[in-house]
Amino acid sequence: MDPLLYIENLEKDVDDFHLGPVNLTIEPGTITALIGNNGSGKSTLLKLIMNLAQPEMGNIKVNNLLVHGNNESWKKLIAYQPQTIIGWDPFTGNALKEMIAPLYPNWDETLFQKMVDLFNIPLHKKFGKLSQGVQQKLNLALTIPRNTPLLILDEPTSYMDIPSKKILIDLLVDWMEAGDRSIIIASHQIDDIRKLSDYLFVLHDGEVIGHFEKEELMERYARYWISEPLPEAPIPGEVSREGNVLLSENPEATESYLEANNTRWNNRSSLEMDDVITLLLNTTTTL
Amino acid sequence: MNNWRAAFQLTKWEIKNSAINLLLAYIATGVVAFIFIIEYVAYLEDGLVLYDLFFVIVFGAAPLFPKPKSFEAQHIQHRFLAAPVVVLQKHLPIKDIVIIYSRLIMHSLYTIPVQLSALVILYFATPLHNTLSIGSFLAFIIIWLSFSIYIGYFVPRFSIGLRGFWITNSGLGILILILLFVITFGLTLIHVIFDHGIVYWSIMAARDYPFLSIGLSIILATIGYIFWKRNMQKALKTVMFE
Repeated sequence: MDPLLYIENLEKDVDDFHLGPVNLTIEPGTITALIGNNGSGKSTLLKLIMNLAQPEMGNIKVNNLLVHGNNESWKKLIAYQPQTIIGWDPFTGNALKEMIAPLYPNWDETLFQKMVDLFNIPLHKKFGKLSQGVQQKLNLALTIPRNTPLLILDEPTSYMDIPSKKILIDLLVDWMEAGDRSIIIASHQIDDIRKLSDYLFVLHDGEVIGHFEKEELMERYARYWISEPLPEAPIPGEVSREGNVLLSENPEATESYLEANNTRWNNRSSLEMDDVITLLLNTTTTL
Repeated sequence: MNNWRAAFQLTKWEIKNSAINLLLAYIATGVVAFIFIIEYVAYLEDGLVLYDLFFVIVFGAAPLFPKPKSFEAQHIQHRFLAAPVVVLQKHLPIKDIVIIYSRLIMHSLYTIPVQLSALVILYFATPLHNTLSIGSFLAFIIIWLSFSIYIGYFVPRFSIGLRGFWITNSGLGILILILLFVITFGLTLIHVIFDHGIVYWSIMAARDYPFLSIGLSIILATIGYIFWKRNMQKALKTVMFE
């Protein structure tokens, strides 16, 4: 099956910031979390995918159609929820719906009405008069029902209350069940990443740290409470140590070494998602 | 044709939210047109440069008169100027050409009715109707409506999006001052060298060479239309929209 999104050697300069080279493939039926520190280039990457900015180098293909080419039919294949919403202020929710829905052949009116009810969105009010949280909910209610093969969400829950975040996650899980759809979600919210993502694409200051399968990544790290003093020399897989607590990015190698040296450990635990992400973004951090 | 139809559909929402502002723009232009009428005789006798300047502004930059904030070109970010509605449209599956056509339709709504009315009122309310036959007056209308295209289309071009120093407050301030100086100087020079201003000479051209005036104006309008359209297409592909 052809990838839904194919990015090859993508590079972009914005003032003194450099993004890339980025290589990324998104297969249908997957959710990829786009992760990085502030200013790492997540939103820039999403804008490049949406052809809202021109790359210095590289190609982006959506369903085998070049995004930066003359054929614009790929636009109907992506629903994009930007972090900053510009130009919606003078329109009511009803007007925005009437404007947006006809542009998408698979618009799901039932889902839209369901989201409006669940989030209690007043459709008669002008967008500019709504609170940031309600604006975000309306934005999502006007994005997810577009039912495009690829859904791109840029910080979708940043202004949302906790119950609404839960509702959104459930909605997205349901949305994915319908078929060969994919989501790219840029988020700092650990719950979004933990509950939704299959893959993590990690950026740091414009550089790609890696594209990881979430479960594999989580199994890659372990924390050990060693019962005896640790040797001075570095231990295979060691990322950091604090007292008798050892953090490893290669548990197999670490355990082989400890067993070979008759060093026992009292306890072993996996890392939390936020710890793993922190490690990826800053390997010198002690956990 | 489908692109034009889609563009009309797109402007429907903007027009709904712009009714009062369209009216205000018409009134503002109408007030300036009133000055054309009462100063017409004095202009022909004394050659007022200001009269020419107002004419150039009304036919070259009239749509800069008040528009709803979300539809007028404005600073969206430092060194990024565009109409917010264009940014909205860029996020949706709307062809670039449809966005351009929708800007041109909105521009035409703000300009053609009021410019045409101003010229017709000028014709019947001043001795202009003694100078120009109906045919020549038609040439006069085409001269100025064409000007409204090959010069006036800089307004929709602005709304499509620009980046750089020249669209910051300082840059725009300098640019406007230079433009005003150059235009006023140019208009004054025409008065000094040719005894009369460009409005007078456009009347004479329409009276003495109506077909040539129409032909040249249509050629200029066509070149202007193609230039601005290509320029806007390029901008929609190259300007960073964020």
